This record gives sequence, structure tokens and C-alpha cells, in this order.
Amino acid sequence: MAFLTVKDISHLYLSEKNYTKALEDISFEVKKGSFVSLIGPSGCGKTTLLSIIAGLIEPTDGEVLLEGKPLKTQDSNIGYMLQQDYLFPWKTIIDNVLIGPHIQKNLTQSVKDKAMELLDEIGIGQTKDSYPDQLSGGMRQRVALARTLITDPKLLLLDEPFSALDYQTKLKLENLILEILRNYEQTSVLVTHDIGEAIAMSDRIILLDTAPGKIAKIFDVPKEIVELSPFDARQDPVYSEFFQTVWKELDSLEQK
Amino acid sequence: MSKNNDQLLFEQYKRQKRKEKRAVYTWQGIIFVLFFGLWELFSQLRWIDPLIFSSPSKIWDLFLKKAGDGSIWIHLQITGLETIAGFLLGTLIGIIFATILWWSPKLSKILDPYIVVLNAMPKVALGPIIIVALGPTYTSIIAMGIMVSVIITTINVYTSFKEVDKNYIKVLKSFKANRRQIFKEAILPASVPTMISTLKINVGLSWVGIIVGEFLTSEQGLGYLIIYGFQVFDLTLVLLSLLLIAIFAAIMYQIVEGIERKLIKNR
Repeated sequence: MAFLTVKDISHLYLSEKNYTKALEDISFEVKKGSFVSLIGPSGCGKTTLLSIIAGLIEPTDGEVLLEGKPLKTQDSNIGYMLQQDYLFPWKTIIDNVLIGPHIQKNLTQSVKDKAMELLDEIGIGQTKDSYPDQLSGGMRQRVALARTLITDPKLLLLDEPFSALDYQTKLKLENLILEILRNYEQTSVLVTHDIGEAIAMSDRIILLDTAPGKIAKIFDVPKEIVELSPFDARQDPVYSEFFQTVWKELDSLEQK
Repeated sequence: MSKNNDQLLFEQYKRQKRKEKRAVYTWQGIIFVLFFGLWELFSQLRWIDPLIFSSPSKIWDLFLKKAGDGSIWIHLQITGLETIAGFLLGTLIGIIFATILWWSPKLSKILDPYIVVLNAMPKVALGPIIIVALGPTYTSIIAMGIMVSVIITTINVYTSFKEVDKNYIKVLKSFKANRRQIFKEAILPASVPTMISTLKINVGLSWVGIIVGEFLTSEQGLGYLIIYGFQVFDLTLVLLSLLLIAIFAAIMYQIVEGIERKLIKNR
């Protein structure tokens, strides 16, 4: 059985003047522990789809099942990482990481210890009492990752989390995050407009067509690359070949 | 060699900044001295009517006299306390109203035109009604102080509540936060700077409300002294009260600004 099932999702944005169909009949499945990327031209409803999977938006039609059960009946939360870190500037780093347990009234000593371990694991343990504005963009995004992982989300959703970072930081962070996600056997869905990032990080890429957003094509990333870290994957000869395939497909959608 | 040169440039820069600062203070001093000096002089020379415009020396004498017999302190204390109560309560009640509006988007839509009208209305015009309703007491005067500041506080704080980045709310919602938690963790702390700047505005507004309140009904306070001085045509008394209001309004403003610096620094 699939871990995450997205079934016949359609979504309509309504306003008083008109309506726009953002998504149409989207269905796909994600296996436990796998990493899926959603790519597509801008305005294809990638972020809308992610918000629906997260349960933040109620779709007009269709449903999202997690381990066969509808999303609404689940108590465990879904991790959500945004384009920017959105750390609370008035909270220290450790308090930012602990915001989830704090909201869920689950702030035990063992959770606190785990938060410290997580911060150490991603290499920013010494900043725990600093405030977010004292940290660089890459460090802040790492804190945001720790904040998301601390609550043990069944599913991690990433909405272009690297897009606001410079290239070097982005490459480093891709490696770090993928390594951690693999360690935790985390099931993840990434939204990105960066083909290279999608190839380097995921097992499977779902290409969305625009207006209304629907699935154009699903690619399975070649095995040789999946095993590698994102940085090494980018160096592999298969990578560039596969990049061309995806590029052509995406380009043909944008030409229309 | 080059290091010495850098040091020299730095010293030069610091000297210049100090010089600029001194010039500003000097001019501020000159304006102060000139204003009171010319006022005194013109009054002595009778270029302006001393009966209407009095003179700094007469105001000073009156101040010493009233400070000596202690009577001025009572007036000052009463008006000061009324103003502090007015602007603190006005700000607090405004924040509570803003919270209610944020809590219920429907209510805020329904009330929107009424809030606009209330804001546009000159609140001091409600003075007579308040005094009849609450009686000619301190309560009425403090109510005036609250009236002038509460609506604008509500509007400012509510606007800042609404402008908190939606993505912070998204983060909290992904942890299944309820509305109360969203308010406590994101909306309220993000709006602290707005609340403090509103507090600063309200210091000034409350003085207006309190003084008008004292004009309408009071037996003590600086507003009362102004009206009393006007009725017995003792304009020295009126001007003394005005100067005291100016000084104390400035002090209150400085205190709030000090609180602001402290709070913002800790963020």
C-alpha cells in the first residue's frame, strides 16, 4: 500500500469576479521513505498542491490519504518547510526549534534533549541561545529543518526551501538535508522550479502542466543517481543526460 | 604607515561628527534663549501687551510662589495621573478591541463602517455627554482621555495584526496550532513595535482629552488652572500651566521612548 495517496485532486480558486482552475485530476502515490519532487512552469499550482497535501487548503474535489486514512483523521502533523525560514525573530534558536512541541503541549525533557541533538547533528548546536537575525541564511534554513523534524512528522513537505539561498550554500544544504532525511527514513515531497535540484535529490519527479495544473509526466530518476548524494549526483554523466530529457519535456510545456 | 593614516582619518571623522553635534546643540540653545529672551524683552518694552502675553519672569515668579505654597503640585499631580490613566487604559482597551476584531473577521467586516465614522468624529465633542452620563468626576475626565485614543489604537493595532506575514501562521498551522496559539505565538509578539508606537501617539492624544475634560468639569488640575486663569484674566497663570503641560508631555514621551528602546533591544 502506498504511504501517501493523492487521489483525483482538483482545486478551484474562487473570487467575486471570476474563478481559476488551479489543479485538475491530480493523482499519484508516494512510497514510504521515498523522495518525490514536483516541478513545472510557474503558475502550475505546485504550491497549491503542497498546501492541499499539508491539509492547509481544503481541495474542491478529491482527497489525500496518509497510510490509507484521510488526512483530517490523523493526529500526527505534517512537516512543512517554506521558501524562507520564517523563524520567529523574538525567539531564540532553541525556542524556535521547540515551537512545535510547545504548540502540541509536549515539551518534555526528552524532547528538549532531542532538539539539542538535532541542532548538533546539523552543525549549529553552539547557536542555540542566539536569535535568528544573528545567523546566516543557510544556518537559518537548517534551524527551520530542525524545527520541522522535531515533531516526527510522518511526511515532510518542502516548498522551494533552497530558493532564497546562494548557490554554494544551497549545494551544501541539499547534501545535509538529504542525508538527514535518509537517516530518519523520512518520506518527503519537494516543490521546486530547479530541474537540477529535483534530479539530485529525488527518486521520482512529477512534472506538472500549467493552467490548469495537471500531471504531464512522471519520471523515475535513474538508479545510479538516486544512490548518490546530491553533490555527487550532479557530477555523474547520467545526470546531464537525464537533465536533458526532463528539460525538453518542461520546455515543450512552456512553449505552448 | 598606512595604518597610521587610517587612524588619522578615523580621528578626523570623529572630530567632525562631534563638531556637527555641537553645532546642533548650540543652535537649539540659541533658539531657546532667543525665544524667552525676546519674549521678556518685548514684554518689558511693551512691544507686546504684558497683560495678554505676560513675560517669562512673571511666569517664573508665579511658579516659585505656587511651588512654595505647594498648590501647583496638587494640580500637576492630578492632571498627570489622569493622563497616565487615560493613555494606558486607552491603549489597553484599544488592543483588546483589536484582538476581538482579529478574532472574528465577520464582526470586523460588519463593524468596519462604524469604526471609520467613530474615528473621523472629533471625540472631545462627546465630552458633555460623558460628563452628564458619568458625573462631574475624575472618572469622566479619564474617560475623555480614553475616548480620544481608543479608536485610533484599535485601528492601528488591528491593522498590524492583519499584516503579520501569513507564512508565520502557516508554520504554526502545520503544527496544528489553534487560533489562540496563533495569536499568542505570532500575532501578538509581531505587533509589539506597533503597540509601543501607538503608546507614543497616545501620550499626546490623552493630554488633549484630559485637558478638555478639565475645561468642562473640574476643580483641580492644569486644565482647570487654564480655564480659571482665563476667567479671571490672569494669563500668566494660563501660560504657566501651558509650559508645565509642555514639559510633562515631553517627559512622558521620553519615558515611553526609553521603554521602547529597552523592549526593542531585547528582541
